[in-house]
Amino acid sequence: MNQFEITEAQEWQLFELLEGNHSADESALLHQEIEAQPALAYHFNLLKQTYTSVPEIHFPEAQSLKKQPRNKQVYLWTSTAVAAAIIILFLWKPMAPATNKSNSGVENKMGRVLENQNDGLGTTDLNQDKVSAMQSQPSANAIRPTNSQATKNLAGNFTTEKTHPLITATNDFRGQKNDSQQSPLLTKIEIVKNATSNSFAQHLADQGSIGDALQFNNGENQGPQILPTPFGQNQNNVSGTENTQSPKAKLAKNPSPRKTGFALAKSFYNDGKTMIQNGHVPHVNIKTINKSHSLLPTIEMGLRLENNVIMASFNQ
Amino acid sequence: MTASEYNKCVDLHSHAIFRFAIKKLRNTDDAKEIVQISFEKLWMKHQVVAFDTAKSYLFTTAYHSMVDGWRSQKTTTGLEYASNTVEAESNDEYTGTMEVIEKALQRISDIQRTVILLRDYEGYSYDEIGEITGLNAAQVKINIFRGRQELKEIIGNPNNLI
Repeated sequence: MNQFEITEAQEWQLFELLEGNHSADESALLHQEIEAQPALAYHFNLLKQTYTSVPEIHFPEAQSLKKQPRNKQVYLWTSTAVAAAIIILFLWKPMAPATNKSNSGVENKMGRVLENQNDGLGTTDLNQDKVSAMQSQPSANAIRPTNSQATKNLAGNFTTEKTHPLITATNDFRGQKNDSQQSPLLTKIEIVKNATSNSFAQHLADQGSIGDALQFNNGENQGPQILPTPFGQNQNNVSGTENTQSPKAKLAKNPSPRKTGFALAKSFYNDGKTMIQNGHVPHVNIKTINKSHSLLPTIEMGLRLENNVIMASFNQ
Repeated sequence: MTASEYNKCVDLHSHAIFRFAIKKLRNTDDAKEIVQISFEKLWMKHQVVAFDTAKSYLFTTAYHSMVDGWRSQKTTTGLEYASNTVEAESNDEYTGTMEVIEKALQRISDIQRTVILLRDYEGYSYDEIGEITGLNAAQVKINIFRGRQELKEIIGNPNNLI
């Protein structure tokens, strides 16, 4: 065997040749050497046999590894549900009573809030015409965050409950605060101003603010009434120092552009689609959030995950 | 990666993973388990792993699963496993060059066998083999060279298998 021994450098040359790491010229030259040297040819043939071919081996349980692509079915089902929900939301408005057709949705909500406030105060001189007259005045685009309102329960006590987050106040409306005949809310402000027994209310009333005032009926303190703060106006607290503007107030001062109904619906649809693509099975929820007796309820639509986490929602 | 792409990966790569595992482990049941583990891990990460890189991910997972399994088996069974392996080998007959090579592959080191199988069966480059095994390209090349040298010695003298 000694006559077939080769150096390690030659071993590497043969290896590089079989691995295909040589250029065409180098390969041709090395092949000539192999033909000329029997030792090289012997080792070249042995080394070539170490290159194994791919055996015919198949995995018998390949089908059991596959997953059922159910995303498409879920996607179709959810798409249908979301589309139906959106259609219901947009068809809801034309079904509203004819008396409210001329008003926008926000103004309708304002009307409902005022009507509720009227009920809570127990006043009797408010009629729908006054509300409509007030609503027909130009809006100042001031949409306030969630307010609470005092309402009177059956026992005669006042309770505070949340109303719809969209409560609109108008500049014109504020400007006419001295005219109690034109607005039911102005009546409350006048009451606040006349309630000299309460220094805090007087303080707020002197400021001309209609926010965080206490409301009175027949001179009795009936609980807090949180009303919209004048647009862009800082408010002093009881000690007279100026309050730092809350994030909500800053937001009201520089309101971000609101999405249109179509943009909301599109965003909502895309949220659902993304959830499905991420492997979740979203549940579409539709519920009414404002069960008014006189008007049709406001609808809120939401997407929930399997663990009841609300991922997206909007109301119309 | 979507579910349909995952299923396509099963069609494309399950046989190759099984072939790779069975050549390394020489046990059908263990090889099946390795394939199932690899694809289960791929499905758990199917939202992260792209379809193009699924093959590399599968081979890497299979390789590490085999290494982990081999280590644990070596620790737990020790000599018993080694004696069973030798007995199984001694009962086989050598009927040709391919069989000799099959047996010779079991005589070389694990890393040499791995890089040669990945090179010959799957046609991976040195870099790709390095990604799977955690070696650099130069180490892969040297291991392939050393492994082939040992295989060449065994093929040149099959008595070395006895």
